Amino acid sequence: MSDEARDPIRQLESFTTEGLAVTPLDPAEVRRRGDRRRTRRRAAYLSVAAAAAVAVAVPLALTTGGGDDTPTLSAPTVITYPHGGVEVRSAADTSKLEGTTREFRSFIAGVWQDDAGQGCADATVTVEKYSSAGYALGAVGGCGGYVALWVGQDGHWKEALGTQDEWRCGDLSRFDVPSSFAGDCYGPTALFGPTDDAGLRLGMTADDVVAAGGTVVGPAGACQGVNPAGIKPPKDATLGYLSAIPGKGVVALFAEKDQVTPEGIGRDATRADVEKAYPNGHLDPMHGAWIVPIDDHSHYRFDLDHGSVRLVSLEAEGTQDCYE
Amino acid sequence: MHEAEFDDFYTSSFTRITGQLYAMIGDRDEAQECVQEAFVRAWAHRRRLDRAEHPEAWVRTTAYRLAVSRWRRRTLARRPADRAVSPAVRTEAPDETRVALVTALRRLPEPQRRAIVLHHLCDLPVHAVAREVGVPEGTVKARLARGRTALAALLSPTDPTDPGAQHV
Repeated sequence: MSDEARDPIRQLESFTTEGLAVTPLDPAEVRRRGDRRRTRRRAAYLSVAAAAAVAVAVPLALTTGGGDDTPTLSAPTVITYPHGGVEVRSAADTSKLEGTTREFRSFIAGVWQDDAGQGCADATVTVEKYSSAGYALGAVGGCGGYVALWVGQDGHWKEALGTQDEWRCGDLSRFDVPSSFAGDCYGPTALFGPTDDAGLRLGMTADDVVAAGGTVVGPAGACQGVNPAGIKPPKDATLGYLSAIPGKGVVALFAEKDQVTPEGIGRDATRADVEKAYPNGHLDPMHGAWIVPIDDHSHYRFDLDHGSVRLVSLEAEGTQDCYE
Repeated sequence: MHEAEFDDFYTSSFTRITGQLYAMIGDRDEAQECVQEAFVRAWAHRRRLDRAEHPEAWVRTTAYRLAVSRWRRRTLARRPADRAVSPAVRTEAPDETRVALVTALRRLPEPQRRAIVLHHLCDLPVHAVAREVGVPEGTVKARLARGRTALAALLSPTDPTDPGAQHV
């Protein structure tokens, strides 16, 4: 062997892919696939708009209570404003929001003020639906435009969610807003963690897993795969790992696409969502993952891919023999 | 990024990034699949790509993280015993030197391997490696030093190490 061949750095620097049968797709096909994904996202947004348009056509009866400027609602307690909702183009327009509380009208005036304050020439806030249970649906449209879900408790209102896409079911669950009010939602609704995944827990033995209705995959004596009952694992994948190290038990569990944490975080949540839901977490820069301590023995791990969650895991602390 | 710009970017960099990812994860087919998917995402998020200072690093990082994610959940029966990020090798290149090098790289700890590949194969300066990996420059330098030493030992003709052994 020559000196050059023995020098690992020189070998590495002369490493090429010449001779490798790399067969990429045609560039036009790559763009077509990328466009198809953009189209799906846009379709999801339009379906929200269509759902809102149908909802506002529902008539509603209101009665006004004597003495108080807040009308008393007859049934139902949900107000759906006709003609696409009440458009607020000035603070004074909030008086058109019949049936809402003074605090809500004040809040909406503030939302409009913020929109106008950004230099939006056409600052508009549209209130489409309002529920006396403490949530409302509308749109903020001056700069860019998005649909918004506002929630109020004890007279204090805030913007809970805003999107140009469809609602995520986990987000609606997090704010206790029914999809019958907010419109169609997509994605996970089943809970994942912090201590339980469809009956499986970190630290369980193989016998515990089976007793909980789960399955153990692979030969004993080495790290094995585990799958909870009732959840079909993806092809060539497992939904958890059982360590062969004595006393370790189940060391990792992975969420499926229909699962979210109690804080509403599942796959496709944004990094901002994760950081907001788990401000006590920290970034593992090596793996691009947001790590959130649960207790002394376990943590959530949210693997990120350029701003979106790609994989949600429950992991045991300490060394293990399954990966990494 | 317009269609023509994207096509040029894709055509000129696909093979290079695939080779880089191949060196990082040790599986050419997996590398190609992940790089392909990363480019589809790049076009779908081209506005984000426009804002990226280094589009090639964006694609490489996306592809690497895809590979890591796929590997973590892969059933054990389809994985080697190696604890590093290296899916089962289905196809190896015929070049002996390259095979030996990739095999040696796969036996390095993941952080060292990634630093070595980014610095010596991708030709990135230390500060750029640090930015892409997300660690301080000093950490990168330490990983490079340890990785080079380990790689030299692994490629030594007198290396007594069992080919199946791990360096973690």
